[in-house]
Amino acid sequence: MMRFSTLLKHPADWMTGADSDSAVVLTSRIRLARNVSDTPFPGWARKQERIEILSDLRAAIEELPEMKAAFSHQLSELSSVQKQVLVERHLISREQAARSEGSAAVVNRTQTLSVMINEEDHLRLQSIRSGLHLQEAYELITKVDEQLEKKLTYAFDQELGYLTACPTNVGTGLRASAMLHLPGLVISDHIGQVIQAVGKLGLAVRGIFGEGTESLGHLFQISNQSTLGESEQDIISRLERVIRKVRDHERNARLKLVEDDPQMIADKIARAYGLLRYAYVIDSKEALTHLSLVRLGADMGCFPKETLQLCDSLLMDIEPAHLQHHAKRKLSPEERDTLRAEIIRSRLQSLPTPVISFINHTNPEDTPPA
Amino acid sequence: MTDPSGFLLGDMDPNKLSAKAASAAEASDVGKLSLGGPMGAAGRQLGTGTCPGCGFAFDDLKKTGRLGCSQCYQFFREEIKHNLGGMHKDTCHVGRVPAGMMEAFQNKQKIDQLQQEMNGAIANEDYEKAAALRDQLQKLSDENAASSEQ
Repeated sequence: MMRFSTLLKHPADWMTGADSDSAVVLTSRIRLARNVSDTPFPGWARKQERIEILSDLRAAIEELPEMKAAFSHQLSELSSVQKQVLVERHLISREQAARSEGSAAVVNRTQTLSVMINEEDHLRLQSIRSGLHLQEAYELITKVDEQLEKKLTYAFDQELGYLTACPTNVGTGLRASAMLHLPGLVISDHIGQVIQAVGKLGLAVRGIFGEGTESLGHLFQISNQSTLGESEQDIISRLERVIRKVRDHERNARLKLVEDDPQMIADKIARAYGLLRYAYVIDSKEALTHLSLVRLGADMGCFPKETLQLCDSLLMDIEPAHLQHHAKRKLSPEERDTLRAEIIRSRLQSLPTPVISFINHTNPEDTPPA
Repeated sequence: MTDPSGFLLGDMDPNKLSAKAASAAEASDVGKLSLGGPMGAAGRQLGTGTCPGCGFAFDDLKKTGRLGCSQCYQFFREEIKHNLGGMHKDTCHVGRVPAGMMEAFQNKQKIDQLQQEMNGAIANEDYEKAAALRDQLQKLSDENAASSEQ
C-alpha cells in the first residue's frame, strides 16, 4: 500500500499543470455520488453500521485494477495536518477531513482518481485531469462506476435516479467542475458580468480561495448545479461549452489589457515578481495575489513557459498544512508567513527578471536607442 | 476542491408543503378535501411519519438537509418531489442506469406487457395463446428470482 510520504513526494500531473493548455483552465474534475441501497447514509448511520459498510466498500474499491497499490487509509489513521494536506491537494473534502472512524480515503498511484468512503454519501468517486478534459475524467470515473455496480447494489430509483443523502445530488449524482485562472477578467473588471451570465445558465461560480465574493489568486470554480432531469453527457457538454466561452473571454480580456494599458500590466507583473523574490514575511493573501500575476506574466511571455508549472506547485506548497508538513511541526501564523516567504524566494531564485516585450512591440519608435 | 455547497434546503418545510399542496388542491377544485390536510399515496399526512427503513423523520431533513437512507425517498417521495423542481432541471432521471437495474427494469416492463397480452388472450378465450404466454411469464420470473439471488 502507498504511504502518505510517497503520496506527498509525487504530486499528480494535474497539480503541477501538465496540460499544454492549462494557462486558463487549470483542472477538470468529475465527481459521482453513490450509495448502497437499504443501508443508512453515513450521516444517519450509527458508528457500528458505518464501520461495517466501510469494510465492504473498502474491499470493493481496493480490488479495482485502477486502485492497484493505492493509498488507502481510514481517516482515523491520519493526523490532522495530514488530512488537511489531502484537502489542500483536493483529494478529499473538508467534510471528509472532519471525520475519523468509519471513513476512509482511497487514492490511486497517479492521483487521478480518489474515492471517499462514508463522506456525505457512502461513496464519492472523483477524477481530476489537467486542463479542460471533463470528458476524459468522466470516462475514467464511469469505468470505475461500472465495475462497482456489478459488486454493489446501488441505491437507485427508476424515477429519481441515483439516490443520495442530499436531494440536491439526486439523479445522476454527478458534479462536474473546472478550476479557472481569470486575472484578465478581474483586472478589467468584467468578472461580475461573467459570473452573472454563467449563473443565469444554472451553473455556479465560486472563488477557490478566500471568502464571499472576494476570490484570492483570481482562481474560480465553475460547476453544474442541477443533477436531475439531464443526462450526464448533457451536463458535461453544457458545462464545457460555457467554460470554453469564459476561457475565450479571459483570453480577450488579456489581449485588451495589453493593448489598452500595457504599462499598468507590466507594472503589476514586474512588481509581483520583485515582491515575491525579496519578501521575508508574506501571508497567504499577498502570496496568492502576486503568484497569480506572475502566472499571468508567464502566459504573456514575460517568463519562461515552465513558470506556469512553478506557480501551480507553489500555490499548493504554500498552503498552511503543506507548510506545517514541510516543517514537521505545528506553526503559528507568523512562523508560517516566514516559511512561506522562504520557500517562495528559494523557488523563484533562478527565475529571470520579466521580459516585457509587449510594450516595445506596441510602440517601437518610442524606445530610446540603446 | 471542496464541493460546491449546493442549495439551501431551508424551505423544505412540511408545513409550507402542506399549505402549498392544499392550495393546489383547492385551485384544482377537488372540493372533497376536508379533514387532516392532504394525504400521501399511503394515506399518510405529508410531512409526518418516520421512514420504516431507518426511522428518519421528515423534520430531520429540515435540520440536516440530508435524508436517512435510500428508503426515505420511497416513504417521503411526494414531499421530496414537491421540492425537486426548483433545484433541478427536471424531476425525472434521464441519465445512466446501473447495468443490473436496467435489465431488471426491462424485465419488469416485459412481464407487465406479457401479463396484459395474457389477460387479453383470456378475454378473447384464446386459451392456447394464454397458456403459451403463461409459460413465458413463468420463465421470466424464474430468471428474475435467480438473478436477484446473486
